[in-house]
Amino acid sequence: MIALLKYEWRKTRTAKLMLLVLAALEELGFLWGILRLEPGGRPDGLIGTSLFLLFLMAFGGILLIGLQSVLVLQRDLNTKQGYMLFMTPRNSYQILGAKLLENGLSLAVAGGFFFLLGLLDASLLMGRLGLDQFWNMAKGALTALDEALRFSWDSMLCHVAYILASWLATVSIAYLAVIVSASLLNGKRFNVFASFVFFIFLTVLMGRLMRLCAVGVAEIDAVLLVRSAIALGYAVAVYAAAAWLMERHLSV
Amino acid sequence: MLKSEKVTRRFDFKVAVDAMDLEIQAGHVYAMLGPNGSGKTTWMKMAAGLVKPSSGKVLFEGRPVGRESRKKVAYMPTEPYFYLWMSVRDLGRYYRDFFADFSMDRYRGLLGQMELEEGLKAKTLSSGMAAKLKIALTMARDAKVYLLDEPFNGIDLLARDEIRACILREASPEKALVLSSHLVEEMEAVADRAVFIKQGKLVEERDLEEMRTAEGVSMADRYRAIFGHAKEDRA
Repeated sequence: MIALLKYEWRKTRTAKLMLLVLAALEELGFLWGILRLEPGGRPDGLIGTSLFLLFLMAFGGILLIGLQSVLVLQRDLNTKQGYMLFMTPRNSYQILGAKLLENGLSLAVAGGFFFLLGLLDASLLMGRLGLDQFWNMAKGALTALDEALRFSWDSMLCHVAYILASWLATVSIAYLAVIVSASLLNGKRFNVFASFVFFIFLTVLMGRLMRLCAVGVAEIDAVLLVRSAIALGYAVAVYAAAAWLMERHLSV
Repeated sequence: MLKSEKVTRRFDFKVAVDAMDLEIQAGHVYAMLGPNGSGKTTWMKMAAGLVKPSSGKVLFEGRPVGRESRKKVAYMPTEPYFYLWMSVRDLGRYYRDFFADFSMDRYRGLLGQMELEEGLKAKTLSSGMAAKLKIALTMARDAKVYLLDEPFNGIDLLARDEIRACILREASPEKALVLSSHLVEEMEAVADRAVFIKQGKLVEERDLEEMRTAEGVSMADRYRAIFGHAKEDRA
């Protein structure tokens, strides 16, 4: 399993390192803005732009990590390079499990990294602006995003967990759709369209399940945690179905 | 050792392999012969567990091929299959990480014989170099069965000699080698058994020495007789 994880990481390493470099550049811009900021003064455009880019990069990065993982699976199933993977003495449960696990770990590390980076930036900004000015600015920014958002670290963590879990489940649904396309629908007309419809159907079903299971839960953080648990359970169920399909019907 | 029982593989309306019964035994080098599209590659992929049969089964040591058989059956595809971001060295490490029977020392030795440098990137290799690299990776394993799909394709005469020598070195009473090709003359010097396949069906499996002494027929003659090119070749 370790070897599979290692090479799954290697396949996507370049894009992840590029993301890291971009985050470092953004952080340098932010630090430069902080250094220029007078204590108690007004943040300039550089700080605002850097924070906006950090926010964008966190979401974009998480999106990219998931999408790239699906593309790698698609390549492994549909090109001759897939022999490298499927000729190894590993079964489909291990192969797909390594892909999902590597993706889950990458998402968690990226999510944690951007969360901590945000925390660091917020702390630096708080130090420069003072508590009251920072608090007002943070509340204003969050309300502009979503009125239901409250500014507390617990709440932020619940949101991050929910985003990561539901995205991981979406990636696992995409895995299943790609595998259905390469096995059961291989060579059939409207193959791509049918597997896309299948992907949409399973994604909508997951959304319904998450809403249904959180009915009666009043606290927004608790709702997010219930939905995160449903998403993770859904990801495991979809993974099991996808690996079974690979083991029984996939030819590369 | 490796046995296919009534194995069939259909691709939509085309039958690539049709109810093929074949048993590969240790101590032999098999030449799997047939024109393009006769089903050699599909049979090998099924034996390697990469392609699922539509019906029938392929067994290795009595069990269906899959994860366990891949530990002891070394398969070399005919197409280039390397991850392009890997170097020749990385590829060796990849095999070492996945196959317990892979020897890095042996791999380096084969690379030296084939004049391949470890620092070369897979994406920069010529087709001849890639063909030699495939052989080095596969033959650096101490497998029980080697399935080599078109090992002589796309390489020059000297490299062919190296590959032939490498294959002969590996032949032993405990191992079986199956080589597919349509280069019949190349195979004659290596194999001791021939498997003729036509339109997905096994035509016959013959002991070459017996065929030569009893019937005075070479593998190439038999190939011409079965696949019907004798008249064209003479003309």
